[in-house]
Amino acid sequence: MRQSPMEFLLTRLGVRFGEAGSMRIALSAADEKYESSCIENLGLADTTFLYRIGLKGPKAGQFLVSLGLPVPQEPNHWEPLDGGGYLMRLGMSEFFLEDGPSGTFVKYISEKLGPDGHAGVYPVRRQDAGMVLCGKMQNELLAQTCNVNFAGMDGSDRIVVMTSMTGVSVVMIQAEVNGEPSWKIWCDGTFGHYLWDTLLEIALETGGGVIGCARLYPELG
Amino acid sequence: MTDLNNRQSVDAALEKNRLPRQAGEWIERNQRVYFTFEGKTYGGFVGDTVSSAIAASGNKVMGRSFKYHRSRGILSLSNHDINTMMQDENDPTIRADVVSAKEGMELRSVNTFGGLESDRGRFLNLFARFLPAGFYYKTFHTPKWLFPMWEKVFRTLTGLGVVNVDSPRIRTPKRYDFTDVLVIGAGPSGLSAAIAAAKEGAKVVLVDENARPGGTLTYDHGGLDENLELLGRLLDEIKRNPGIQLRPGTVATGYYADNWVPLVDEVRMTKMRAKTVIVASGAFEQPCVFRNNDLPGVMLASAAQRLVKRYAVRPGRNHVIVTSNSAGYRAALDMASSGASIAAIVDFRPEGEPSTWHERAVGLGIRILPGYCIYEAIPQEDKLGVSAAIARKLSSTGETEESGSQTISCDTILMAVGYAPAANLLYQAGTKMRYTHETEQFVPEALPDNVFACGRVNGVYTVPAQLLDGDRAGLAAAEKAGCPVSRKASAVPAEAVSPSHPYPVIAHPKGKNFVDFDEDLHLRDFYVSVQEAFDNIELMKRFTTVGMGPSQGKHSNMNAIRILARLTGKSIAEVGTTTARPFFHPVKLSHLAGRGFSPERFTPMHHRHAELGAVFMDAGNWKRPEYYRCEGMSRLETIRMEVRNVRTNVGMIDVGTLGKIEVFGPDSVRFIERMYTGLFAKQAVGTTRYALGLDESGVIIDDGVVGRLADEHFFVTTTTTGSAQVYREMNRWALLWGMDVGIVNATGYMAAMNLAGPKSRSILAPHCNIDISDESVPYLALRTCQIGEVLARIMRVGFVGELGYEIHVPSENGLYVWDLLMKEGEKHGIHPFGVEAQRVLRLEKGHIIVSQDTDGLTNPFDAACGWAVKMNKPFFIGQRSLKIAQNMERKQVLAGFSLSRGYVGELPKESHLVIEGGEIAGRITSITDSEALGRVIGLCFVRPDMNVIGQAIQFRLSDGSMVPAEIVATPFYDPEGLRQKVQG
Amino acid sequence: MKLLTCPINGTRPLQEFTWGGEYRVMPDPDQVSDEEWADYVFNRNGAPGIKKEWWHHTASGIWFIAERDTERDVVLRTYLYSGKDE
Repeated sequence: MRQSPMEFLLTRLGVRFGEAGSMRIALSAADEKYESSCIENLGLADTTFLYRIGLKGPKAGQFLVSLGLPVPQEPNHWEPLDGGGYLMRLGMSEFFLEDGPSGTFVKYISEKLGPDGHAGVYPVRRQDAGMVLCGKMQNELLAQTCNVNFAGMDGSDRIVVMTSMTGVSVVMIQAEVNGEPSWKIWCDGTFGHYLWDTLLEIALETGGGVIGCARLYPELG
Repeated sequence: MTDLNNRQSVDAALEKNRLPRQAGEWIERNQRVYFTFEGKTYGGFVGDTVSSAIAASGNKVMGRSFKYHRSRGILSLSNHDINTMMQDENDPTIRADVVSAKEGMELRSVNTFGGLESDRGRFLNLFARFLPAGFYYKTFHTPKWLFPMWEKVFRTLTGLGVVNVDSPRIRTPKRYDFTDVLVIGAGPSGLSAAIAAAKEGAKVVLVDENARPGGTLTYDHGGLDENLELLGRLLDEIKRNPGIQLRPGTVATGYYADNWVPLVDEVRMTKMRAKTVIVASGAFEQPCVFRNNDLPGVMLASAAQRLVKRYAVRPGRNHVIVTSNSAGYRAALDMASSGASIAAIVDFRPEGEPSTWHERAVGLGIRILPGYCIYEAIPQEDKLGVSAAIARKLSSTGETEESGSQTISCDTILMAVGYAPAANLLYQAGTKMRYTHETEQFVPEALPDNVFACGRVNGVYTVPAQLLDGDRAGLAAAEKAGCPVSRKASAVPAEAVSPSHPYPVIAHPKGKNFVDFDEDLHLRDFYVSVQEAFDNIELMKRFTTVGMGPSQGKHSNMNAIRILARLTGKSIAEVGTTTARPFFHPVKLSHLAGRGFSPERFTPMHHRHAELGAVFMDAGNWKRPEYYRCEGMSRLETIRMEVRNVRTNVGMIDVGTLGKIEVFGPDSVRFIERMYTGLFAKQAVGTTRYALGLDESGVIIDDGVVGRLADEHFFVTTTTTGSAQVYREMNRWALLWGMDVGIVNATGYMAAMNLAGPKSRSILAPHCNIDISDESVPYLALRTCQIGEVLARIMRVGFVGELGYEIHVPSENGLYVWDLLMKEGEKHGIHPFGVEAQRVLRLEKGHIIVSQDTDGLTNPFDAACGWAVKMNKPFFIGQRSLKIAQNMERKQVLAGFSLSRGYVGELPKESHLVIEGGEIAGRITSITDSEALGRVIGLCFVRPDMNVIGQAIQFRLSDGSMVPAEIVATPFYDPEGLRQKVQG
Repeated sequence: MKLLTCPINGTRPLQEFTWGGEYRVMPDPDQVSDEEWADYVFNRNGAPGIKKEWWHHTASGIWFIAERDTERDVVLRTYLYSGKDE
C-alpha cells in the first residue's frame, strides 16, 4: 500500500524484493558479491520504508519531553531512539522522528497528536525519501554533490545538516547503521527519484552501488 | 619486430640534443614514448613534454605564428608557448610546452597551410607592412560591402586549432573541497609558506601547475647543486607533514569571492574553499624586444634552463645571453655546465652584475659586454633558426649606437631581462598593486583580508629571502585561519638589485621586434596605436589586441605597458594595468561542463503515467503529463478525446504538483484572512473557498482554494509554480505579524488527483468509507475519509466544470489510490487526462490561470475577479494598493470572446493583438477550439469601453490579417453550474 | 561564490539561500496617504551603504536578517528577526 519513490528504479536494477512497513523494499542487490564490495566501498540503500513524522510549533519540544522522549537541547542536533530510530531537532521549533525497523514512536505520536494537532504542536506528515550511504568512499560522493565541509564531523557530535545535495534540499545525519559509520539522508519524496538516480550514477563510477536493506537491518533478512 | 628495430635505429637520431643524466631531471630514461608531429616520428622519455621531446631531436621549429605565419619554437616552456600549440584528432589546443609526450600521439601544428615547414601562409610575412595594428578596422571596412569577403579570408588565415565536432563527449566530475590554507605555487616561497602554516596546525593544500613541485629550484642553479639540495630538504619536510596535501599538475584558475578557487587538473575541476589563500604564483619571465626576437632558438633564459635541468635537452650549442639581472648569469653558468659554449653575455647595465655570479662567469672565461643590448638576431638562410646576434652599445639615454656594433655567431639567444608578477589571482581578489622601481615591477600594496602573497609575485627574488617571505606569509595565513601561532616571522631583506630592466625594448627601422608573440605585434604597432590616439592601456589593448591571445598577455602586457608609458611620457603607475579576469588560464569545456545538477520532481504516479503513454512537459521542475498518447491519434485529436471523456464520461488527472500548505494554530484564521482577498472567518469546517493572493501592489500572484479542516486547521492549495514562493512568503509574513501559526508545506507529502466527469461519483463511492452523495458532500465541500485503507481528503471542486472530486492522500499511498480508482473506472470508460485537456476544460468554464491570463501588472479588477475581493475586511496583502487602484481608470480588463461559429482559417494564438481603430487595444491570453461549444473561445484583455457583451473586436494574426470576434459572457460552458448536480 | 551565515545552520554558500528583499516596516495602511503608500510599495534606495535584508535558507526554511554593506560588499552580521526593529 505504501510505495517508495525509488521502487521503479530498484525494479530496473533487479534487486531482490521483500516487504516491510507495508512497502516493497529491496532486501538485497541483484549481485550479492558486488553488494558486499559496495558495503566496503560505497553503498546506497533505500530506507524509505521506515516510518517518519514531524512536529512543528512553539510547544512541540515540550510535548515530546512530556512523552518521555530524548529531545535534543540544541537546534540541528539529534538523539537516538530505542529500536534504532532518531529524533532530530530541525532549527528551533521543528522536530523530525524516524523509527527504526521495530520502533513504534511514530504511530504513538501520530495517535497522540490527532489530525489537527494541539495548540502549539502541529503534525507534519512527512513523506520523505530516506537513504543510507555507507562505505569508505562516502565522503568522495558527498564532495561531488554537496558544498558543505564535513571534515571534522564524526557522528559523535550528533549534528543535523540541512543543505542542498545535487540541488535538492536534504536533511542529513552521520550515524552508525548496523555498526558502520554511515550518512542517513532524507529529501522530499518527490525529489527521491532524481536524488537517488544521481547519487547512484556517481556511486557506480566510484566503485559502489545499491545495497539492500537486509544488509543494514539483518532482522529484515 | 621490424618496427621495433626501426625504432631503435632512429632513437639515436631522435636523441641528438639529449644531454647525459642531469641531477633532478624529470624524465624516466628507461621508458620511451613515440609519437608523430606533422607526420614525422619523434621519440622521448616518459616525463618529457611534447616540446622537449621534439627539441631533443634537434628540431627547433614547432609552429607558425598567428598572423604572419613565421616559424616559431620554444619561448617560455612554461605553459605560455602559444606558437607551439598543437592539435590531435579531438583536442584543438594542446600546449606542447607542458603537455606530456604520450605514446601514439598524432599531432599537427595549428594554423598552417600545407604543413609546418612549407606553410604557404608565410608569404604574409612579406606583406607585414600592410597588416599594422588596427588594420581590421581601417583597411577592410572601406568600402563596407567588401568586409564580409575580407572577414572570410582572415578567419581562414588566422585562428588556431580546428574543432572536431564529432569528438567523444567527455564529462569530468566536479568536486568540492575545503582547507584552512591554500598555497598557490610550490616554488621556494610557496613550499616555505606551506611548511610554516602546517607547523602551526593548519590544514594546507599546496598546488602547482607544473608536473613537479619546486619552481625555480628545479632549474635555476647557476651551475651549482645548492638549490636542488634545498628542494630535497623542503620536499622531505612536506612529505613528513600529514597536514600538507601537495597537488602538482593543478592550476588555480581564478579567485572568486570568499576564497573560492577553482583548481583544475588533468581530470577534473575542484572547487576549493579556503579559509586563507597564499598566492606564491611567482613571475613570468619577460622577453627582450629586438628585431627577430621570435626566431626559433631565441627563448627566455628560464626556458633554456628548464630544458636542460628538467628534460636534459640542450637548447643549442653556442649561446648568447642578453640580460640585465643575475638570472642571466646563472643561465649562462647552467648552459656552460651542460657542456654548451657561451659566445657572450650581453648585459644592458653599464656597471654589469655586482654579485658573485659575475666572478663565476668571468672565471669560466665567458665574454661579457656590459652596457650592450642585442639589436637584432640574424636568421639562418632558411629562416628556421638563428645564425648570429648583433650587439650594440647603449647610450646613456638608452639609444643604440651604430658604432662598435658587434656580430656574434650563435645558434641560441637567451633573454633574461626581467619579470612580470603572476598577480592575476591577486588582482581578481581585489588587491591594490603598486609599481616600484626597487624591483621595476608591480607588487601588492594592500591585500584583501585572508589573502597573502609571497615570493616573486611579492617582489622577492633571492632564494633565502623567498624562504623567509614564505615563512612570514605561512604564519600569517595560519593565524588568520584560526590557528594559534607560536612564533613571530623574521624580517625579509629587500632586493639589492632590480631583477627587471625598466625598458628592455630596442627599436629597429625594419621592425619585426615582437612585443606580443600570440598576436604577432611588433613595436611599430604600438606607435601606430598612440598616433591614432588609442593611448590608454585599455584602448591600446583593444586596438592592437595586445594580450588578447591565448597566453592573455603573460609575456606581452608588461612590455606593452612600458612602451605606452614611454610613448605618452607617463609613469608606469599612471599607465596602470588591464583588468585580469578569470580564468587565469584556459579551462577545457569538458571540465567546466562537468556533471550538471538540474533536479527533476516526479509525482508518485509518474511511472504509471509513462506506462499509460504520457507525454511529459515541464512545469517548474515537475514533469507533468501533457496528454496520454493514443495509438493512431494525433496530439490534438487525443486532447479532444480526453476533454470529451471528462465532459461525457469520466477522467482523472494527477494534480499532485499543486502547492499544498497546512496552516494550524490559534491565529490561523486571522492569518488566512490577511494572506488572501476573500472572507474566511465565517467559513464552515468542511468547506472550501476560492483563494486569491496578491502582492503588496495589488497584483495577482497566486490562486487556489482554502479548505477548513477544523477551527484552527486549514488546508490551502496553490498553483504548481507558485507553491515554493507562497510557502516561503507565508512564513515571512507570520514572522513579521508575530502570529501563532504553524505552517507546513505538504506539497511533496500529498499526492493528489482530480477525478472528474459525470461518472466520477460512481467510481469513488464504492471505495470511500463515507457517503459522497450530493447531499452529504455538496459542491465545494471538504471531507476527511478513507479510500481503500488510505486516509484521504476529498474536495468537491469545479475547476474543469464537471462533477468532480479532488482527492489528496499521503504521497506513499498515491499510486495505490490512483490504481484503485483507475481499475474501478475501467467499467465506466475512464481515461486519464493531461494538462492540455485541463486547460481546455477550465477555459470553457472561464477560469483564469494566474500568470497566463494575468501578468505582472494585473490586479483583480483587471482580471474580472473583483467578486473574490472583500474590500471591507480590516486588512489583506494588496488591499491598500487596491483602494488606490479601485479609483483609477482601468487600462485593460479580461473578457471572454468567441469567434463566429464555423470559423475556418488560421486560429489566432495567445498574445495575438486586439486591434481597434488601427491601435493596439489588447491581446489574447488563452484560446481554444471548444468541441463542447462548437466554436473557438478564449480570454483576452481589451479596453474597458470595449468590454460589452456582443461588442465586435478583431485580432491581428502574425501575417497581419484580421480575424473578427465578439465579446461574450463567461463561463462559456454551463453558466448555471448544473453539471455539478448530475446524478452520475 | 559568496558565503552567508545563517544564524541556525551556519556558514553556507550563497546558492543555498534566497534573497527576500530589503527589510522595511510597513506603514499603517489606514493612516498613510496614497503617495506615502506608493512610496513604500514601489520605491527602494539603491545608494551604496549598509542595507538590512531578508534572506531565506532554502533547505531549512529559516528567514533571517542580514546587514550588508553594499559599498564594500561584505555582510556585517546576520540574526533572526525578533519581532521588533533592531
